[in-house]
Amino acid sequence: MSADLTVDFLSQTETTSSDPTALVESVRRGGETLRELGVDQIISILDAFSARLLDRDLDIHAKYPGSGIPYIASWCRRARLEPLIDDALVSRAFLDRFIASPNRPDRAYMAFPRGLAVHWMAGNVPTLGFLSLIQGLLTKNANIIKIASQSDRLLADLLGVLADVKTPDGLLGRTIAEAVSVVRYDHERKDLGAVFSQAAETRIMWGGDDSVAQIKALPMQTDVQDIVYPAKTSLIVISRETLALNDLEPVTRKIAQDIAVFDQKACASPHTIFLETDDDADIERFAGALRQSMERAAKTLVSAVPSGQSVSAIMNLRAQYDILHKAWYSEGVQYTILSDDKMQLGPAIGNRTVYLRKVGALEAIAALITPKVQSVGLSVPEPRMDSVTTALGAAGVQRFTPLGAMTHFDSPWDGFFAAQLLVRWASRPAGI
Amino acid sequence: MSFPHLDALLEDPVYGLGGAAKKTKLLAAMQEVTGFHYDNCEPYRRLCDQRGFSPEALTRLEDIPYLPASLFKDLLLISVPEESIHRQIHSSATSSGRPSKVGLDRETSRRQSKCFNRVVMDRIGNERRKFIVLDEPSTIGRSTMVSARASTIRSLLFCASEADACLTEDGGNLSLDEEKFIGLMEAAQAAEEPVMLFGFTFILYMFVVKKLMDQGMSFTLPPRSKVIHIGGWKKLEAAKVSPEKLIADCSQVFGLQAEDIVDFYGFTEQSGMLYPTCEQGLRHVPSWAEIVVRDPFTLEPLGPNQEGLLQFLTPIQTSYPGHSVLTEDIGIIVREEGCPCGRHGTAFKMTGRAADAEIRGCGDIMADQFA
Repeated sequence: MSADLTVDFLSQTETTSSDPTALVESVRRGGETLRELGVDQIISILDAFSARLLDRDLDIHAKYPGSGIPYIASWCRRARLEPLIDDALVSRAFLDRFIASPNRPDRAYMAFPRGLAVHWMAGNVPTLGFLSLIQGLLTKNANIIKIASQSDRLLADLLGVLADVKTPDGLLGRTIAEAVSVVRYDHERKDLGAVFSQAAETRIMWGGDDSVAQIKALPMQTDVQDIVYPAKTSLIVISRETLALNDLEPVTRKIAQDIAVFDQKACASPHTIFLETDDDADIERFAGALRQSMERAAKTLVSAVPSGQSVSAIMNLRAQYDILHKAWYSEGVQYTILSDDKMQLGPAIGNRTVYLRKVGALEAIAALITPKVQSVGLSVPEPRMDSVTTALGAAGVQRFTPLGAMTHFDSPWDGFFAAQLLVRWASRPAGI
Repeated sequence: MSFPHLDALLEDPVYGLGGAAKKTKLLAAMQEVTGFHYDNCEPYRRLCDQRGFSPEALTRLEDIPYLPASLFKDLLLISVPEESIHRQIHSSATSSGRPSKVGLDRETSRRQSKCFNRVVMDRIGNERRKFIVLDEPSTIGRSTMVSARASTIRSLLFCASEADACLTEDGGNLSLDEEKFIGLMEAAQAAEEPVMLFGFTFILYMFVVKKLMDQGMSFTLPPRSKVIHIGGWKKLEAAKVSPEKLIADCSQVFGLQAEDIVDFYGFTEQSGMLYPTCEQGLRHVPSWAEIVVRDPFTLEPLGPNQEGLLQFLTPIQTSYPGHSVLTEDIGIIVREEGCPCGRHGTAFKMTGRAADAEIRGCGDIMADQFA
């Protein structure tokens, strides 16, 4: 069985294993070693990993340009990881020992790892998948990452960097890296998916509805915990107060960044910008400013070459909007801004294509919100913040961010704290 | 309406024009036709205005705004009064489920037929030949309902002295009628008269060539016989069959030279234009057309041997602005002028079809005439 299972382990070696069960056992052993570390020690290693990744001389930067490695580096800093885990578990110390409840003095709690977390990555943004892995590690789980059959080896190479890290007090990145295996195998090999799924205490799925349904249909443990990051869309809302600013550049610069990061492939990437106005002149002015910002972003955040089909889709929209509505775009296919009188989201085209639409009052956007909407980037004055976020939050929006921070992976994400779902709580009498 | 430059261009030999002479004549015809569409198709005019393009100021073919092929799925664009549209042609729908739609007046239909026939005859000869059609019989029969596949097949039968189809269909499944096919092949060998084997690329290979090879069968067709195929490569690519393998296997099974295996390429949005592979395996642009290869990112025109998206320009469509179309297909210009095969003009090669490229009904235009 599984004669062509390709396993990338720590990225330095590529072995062909005929036994996925052996792989599971190996990574579980790595998880047991990981448990011996305190959570602050794990954070120290990841902090050192972050510093290492910022070294621009590392081969990995040249090998995977534009894939968000600096972003991962920034995300793995101690200053980000500590509040991330504290927010999810009240205190990260619960991961290391039993701690008395501040509310029930007779009981103490500890958060144990659930065991093996298997992550099915989406092909579009492998970087984001790394961030679910980090949470798996912080909660001391063993992890198997299934990457798309054709996807690159970015995740495996990142683990290679992690494995080589050593902290000033002698902690080794290898201790963490050995609790992880990256696997890739052909889509048709359902038998391999079945082995990994059956072994998992937690299944983490990134991807579209079809991919998620296929994973969910695999055999599983009865009490498996599923964490699903399905395909989502995101948008930006700009208040009338913002539109009244003399200089829109600081606003559009951040929007351009939100659009350009991850080349608009992330769930948190905006595809629609609502302007609170009924004046076409506002659209023209805003589009002009956004166009300049997109031009600059095209130079600093270089995008990948789209497929012929994607180019055709973009050219089609440009032609339709030139004929029927309004369009602003680059000479090439670097970015496209479209405007019409429709009251709808998207559709998501990608390749830095965004719709500019008018709306009478921002709260009216609530009618468009579906469970598929994830993030809303806001430029709304403080006095109106409650009104807008409560209306849109009640309609289903899971996350509001300032402009320029939409794609900053955060917790909660998609409406939940992943770390909460990666642990198994145990309680005991306090004071023993 | 009259198009003196276009009419003059169509009098030239199919591949007789090249270099500066072609540029001058084609540019004049394109300017004439682009101006006509600008004046008579309001959506097209809006698009040109939006892009700051004026037909009067045209000096280079590559400056003519191009419409993506997929736009014809969303908009019906016409440059003549609606009442003069005598026929709308629809491509086979792709995975998008939306067929392309173009409106033809009699003048455009006539012009497209003429161009189509001349290209076909240049490549396969102007004598009528017996056609062995690698498809099921209804594709060559008379019927009121015509599938895109059937209409494509029928479009080529204008140069057939007779036609026989030698596949059968049962519940949607095609299979080779071996007895009939072998009988036809043996008859062709015995008569020593050239024959044309014609079918869709996938059907040709998977239902005929592969099957015959699996059985260890081969034939030696009379000299000047040809295998003509048309359609997408997606399924064959998935089956790991390259164009080179198809040629090699066809040559082996039918006893033909590689130059006798002809791959036709065309697309609905520029019906009447056909680009067969020449004896050297390249495709040539006739006197009344040009090709531009564009960088898929910058959209700038690329030079020879640089791979990019294929844009096709031709003035032969006057009823709709299909005179400059950007496809999703990928290719390279191999020679800017001339070819050892003797044809003038730009020679190009397809290097990749769009992921869901349809089997393009290049022959739809001809279906009415020859059905």
